[in-house]
Amino acid sequence: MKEESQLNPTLSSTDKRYNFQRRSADLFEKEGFPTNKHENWLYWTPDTFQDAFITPQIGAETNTESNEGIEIDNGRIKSEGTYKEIIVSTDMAAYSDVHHITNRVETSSLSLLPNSFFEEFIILDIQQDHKDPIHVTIKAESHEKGSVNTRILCLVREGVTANVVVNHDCIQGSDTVTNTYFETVCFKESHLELNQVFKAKQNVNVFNSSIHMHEKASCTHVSYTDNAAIMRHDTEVNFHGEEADLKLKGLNILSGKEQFYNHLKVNHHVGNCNCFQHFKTILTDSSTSEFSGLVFVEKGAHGTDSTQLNQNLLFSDSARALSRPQLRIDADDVLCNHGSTVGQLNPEEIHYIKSRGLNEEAAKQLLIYGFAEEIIENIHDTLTRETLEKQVKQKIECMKND
Amino acid sequence: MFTIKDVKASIDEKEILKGISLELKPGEVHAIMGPNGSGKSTLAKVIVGHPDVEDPEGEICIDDKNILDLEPDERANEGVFLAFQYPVDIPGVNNAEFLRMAYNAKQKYHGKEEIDPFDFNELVKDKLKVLKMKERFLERPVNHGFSGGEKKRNEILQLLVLDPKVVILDETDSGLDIDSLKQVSEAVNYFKSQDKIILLITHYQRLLNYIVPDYVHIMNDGKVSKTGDKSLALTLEEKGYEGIES
Amino acid sequence: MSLKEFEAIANKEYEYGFKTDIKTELIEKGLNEDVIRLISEKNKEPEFVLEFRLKAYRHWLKMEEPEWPLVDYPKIDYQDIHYYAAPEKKEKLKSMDDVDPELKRTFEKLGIPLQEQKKLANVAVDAIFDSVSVATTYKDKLLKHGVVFCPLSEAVEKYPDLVKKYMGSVVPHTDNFFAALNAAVFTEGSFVYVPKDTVCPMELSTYFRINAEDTGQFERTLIICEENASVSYLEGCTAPMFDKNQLHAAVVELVALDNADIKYSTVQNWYAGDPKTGKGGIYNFVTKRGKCLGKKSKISWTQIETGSAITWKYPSCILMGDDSIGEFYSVALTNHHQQADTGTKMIHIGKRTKSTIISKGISAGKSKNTYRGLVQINKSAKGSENFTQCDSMLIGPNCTANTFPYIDVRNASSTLGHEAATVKVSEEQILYCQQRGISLDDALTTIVNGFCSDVFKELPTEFAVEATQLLSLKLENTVG
Repeated sequence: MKEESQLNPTLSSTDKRYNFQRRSADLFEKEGFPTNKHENWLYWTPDTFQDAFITPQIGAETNTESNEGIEIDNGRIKSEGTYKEIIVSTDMAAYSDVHHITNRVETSSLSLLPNSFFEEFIILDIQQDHKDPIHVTIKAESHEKGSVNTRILCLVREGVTANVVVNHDCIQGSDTVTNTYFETVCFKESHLELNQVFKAKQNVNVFNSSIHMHEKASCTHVSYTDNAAIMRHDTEVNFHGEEADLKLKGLNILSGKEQFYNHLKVNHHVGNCNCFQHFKTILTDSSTSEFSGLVFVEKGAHGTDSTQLNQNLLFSDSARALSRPQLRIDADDVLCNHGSTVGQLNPEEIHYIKSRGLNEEAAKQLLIYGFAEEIIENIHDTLTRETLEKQVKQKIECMKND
Repeated sequence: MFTIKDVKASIDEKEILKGISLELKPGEVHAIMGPNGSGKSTLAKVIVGHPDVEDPEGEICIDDKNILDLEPDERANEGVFLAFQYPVDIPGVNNAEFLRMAYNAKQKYHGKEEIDPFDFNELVKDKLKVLKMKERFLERPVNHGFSGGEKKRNEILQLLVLDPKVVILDETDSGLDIDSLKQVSEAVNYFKSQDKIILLITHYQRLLNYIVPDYVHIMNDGKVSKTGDKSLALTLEEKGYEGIES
Repeated sequence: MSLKEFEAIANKEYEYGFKTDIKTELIEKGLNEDVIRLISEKNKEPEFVLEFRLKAYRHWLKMEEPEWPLVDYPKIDYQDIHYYAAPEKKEKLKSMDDVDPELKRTFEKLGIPLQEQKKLANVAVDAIFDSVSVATTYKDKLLKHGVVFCPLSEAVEKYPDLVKKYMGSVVPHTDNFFAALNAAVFTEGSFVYVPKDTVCPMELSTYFRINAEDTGQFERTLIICEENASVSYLEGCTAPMFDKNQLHAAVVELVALDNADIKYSTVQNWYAGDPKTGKGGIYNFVTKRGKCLGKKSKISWTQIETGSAITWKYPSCILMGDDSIGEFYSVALTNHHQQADTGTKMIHIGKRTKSTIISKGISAGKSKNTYRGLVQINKSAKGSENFTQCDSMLIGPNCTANTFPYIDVRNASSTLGHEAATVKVSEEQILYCQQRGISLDDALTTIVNGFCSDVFKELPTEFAVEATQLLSLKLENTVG
């Protein structure tokens, strides 16, 4: 085996891949599925979906037509797109110099599964500036019992400015789950705008995100979630170099019995970095939302400036908003704030808008839209932003009809 | 007598003051002017013992006592008062209590009786009248939520209560409206008449319309490059810092 | 001297670390049903109390010590503790004059006069020494107003119906590991009953003193406020310096009926352990909870936590009555090797209930300071409100500050706001104070006191001064 691998470079790549997957699987075996004994899994656990999670769907085909841009279908590259600034690769061994290929995010053992089961280790290596959006579509389409596992590593090389729009599109049967691991590395002095839009038709969607920030890198990350029975996000941020700046923004509009569990861990290993996290949720019907964010400032990480905000609009007595903004600080020269609110629209603001001639319904819609827009407006690409704005508007109008 | 003898000082390993000597006699007003980065604010820092200043050299004496090796609070109790350019706020600490603490610290330092809150209130009330300030002012936390003008007037109130020997005003005119400027000037002129030593640090000539200096020193690159009387300030206004050097 | 070189120099001795040399009656170390029966016997308790104890003990055996608090300590050997310690006495006390002069001197030394009309003229004191109440002042004067203020053992005897009705009604023996342990072995504590339409005419105060070595203190306090009644109660505590850790697992239950108002303040100054090594000190594992049973009732907790090696406590409010109000004001200061995991729980059940949480944590030295708080607004609690503010101040590079709020809102007519921030003592603030002639130590104390002012102003005036002084003592030589 060893001799062969020396002769055949593609096999050495397989080896590296095999070792990585084996290790991820071993770690999962050791830790097992999360239970509600874990602080991060108090309100939903994957119990009835355990089988699906550990039954990877290999070689499943999708029937969708190709869009422009990079397309990833059921965990494999379908189209590499036409961006000459990006290398799209699945050769893990060729990227062994990237030290950020991680097995998991801290808050979820489920994150080990895409790292155990992926069919392709997909690398998006952005080597030159690309200020117009790079479109990436990640599709999961399956109706059989099992999980669609996708593993992506997105690299933004030193000094590069890039804009990436990722659309997650899931169409599934009742026993199917998606489990995606998206790792982002912002190298020194790079600038990334990353927008993640989640559209899922049914069932359980797990999204694991690991973000690495190097010296003087900046990144704005905006996520929007629409329609999913159960959505679980686990994000881990690591600051490796000083003077990096990360903005994490998220908007979720929940209706019906939708459940959204959003877990975030920000590790300030080094000082003088800024991190601003702002997550908003609008809840109607019998929906549930959990936000749990922990900012950890390590000893010696002086000059850290970290702010965490979680705001919830709660419109139904059957809905439930859970919020846990947390701070863990081991350094004394830092600026850390967090805030959390749960409430309704301000009656005075409604009154003000009505006094300008709008009716109650329109006034409310306007205010809800304003609440949402504070997140969406962070998307710089006009087309992407306007598309989302339209969707959000429609969604808010639907709320009235309920 | 307040003497600064060949003072050198560095911040962040960069030498900012490169040998400054001044001699200030009671009843005199000295103005230090200079462009940004000339070292005039560092001079104030050295005098009060700011922790940013690394190993200052030379001597700073009140009468014959060198204060350069003393702790900042000891220097204050020896009679140095700095009206800060940006007075710091201390949330939750009552202004009156803070003032009384400072007053009593000085009393104690000089082996005198501490004053009780009632007598102190009387003392402060008189000073408030001079500055046309309301008593309510005392109940607010130190500089917290104060406007720029209020902060500067609070500095002057402290000045009147603590009654030091040497008064340093660091850019006190910045951010002041004309009425406040007049009040501040009145207080300073009163101090001059009491034979105090006054050192004004300012970028602009404006304050000098109200407080007439006996001497004007121009600072440049960490040194006093020119000394003259009040007319020097006017020349400066006219020609600018570059014009005056040539 | 510069703030950049923050280093905790620990040399201020704990003022209350002396031990009183007095003959003590101890029950043998260890815990079993016989020990519980013996405690019950010593207290001459009626049958229902013994049953309450045994039920709790049997439940406790099945429980596990909680591991979730962010505190580290070696495993406690529950068989290596005396569960009863009492200064020997001859007969029942008839008047203050009968109190052992040695004990009187002890409390004098602690600043707690057992003679009425002394320093704290408007405060009635119940002084508890290890497992028994030594004296209660102003008892008769209070009784004239219908207010009962006595040791719990006396209440069990004289007011068994009230005790039976309310003891365990707020903190059931099943609540948590330490509450179950307390229910099994509690020895003494204070009992307060304020009848309908009565404003308690003076501040009530209990002073706890642990003296004997290797003993645990398990007091139990019960305060009942009838309709339209109000009371303000203060608890103080100290202990001698021992190398071994001592366990203090108290339970406090408050019950407020319609329109009743209970204000409960704590100034906690248990021995915190050796500043240099962290050896010894009190484990303060306490369950405190108030039930706002009645409409428009109000329970307000104020705590100044400065002592103990480890603090684990969450004074809470269950807001059942419509329009009831819960408040929590806290200053937790940790220095040296101290650890604190403290906060509150506000459970909103009644309509239009309101809660306010103000927490100020200060960590210095190598200490660990955690705020942990739950605000739960149930579906039934329509129109409820919560506001929470928890700020942390870190002094020096080796300490830790954590903020762990738990927020759970389940209706669409309530509002909740939580904010938290870290506050730094800046070099500029220190210099500003120093430039006005104030010394480094005083400057730091002044700034920290300012940081805590929102909480201090909630304390009864008699104790606000004490709290301020305590804080300055604890902070001495922190900056160098």
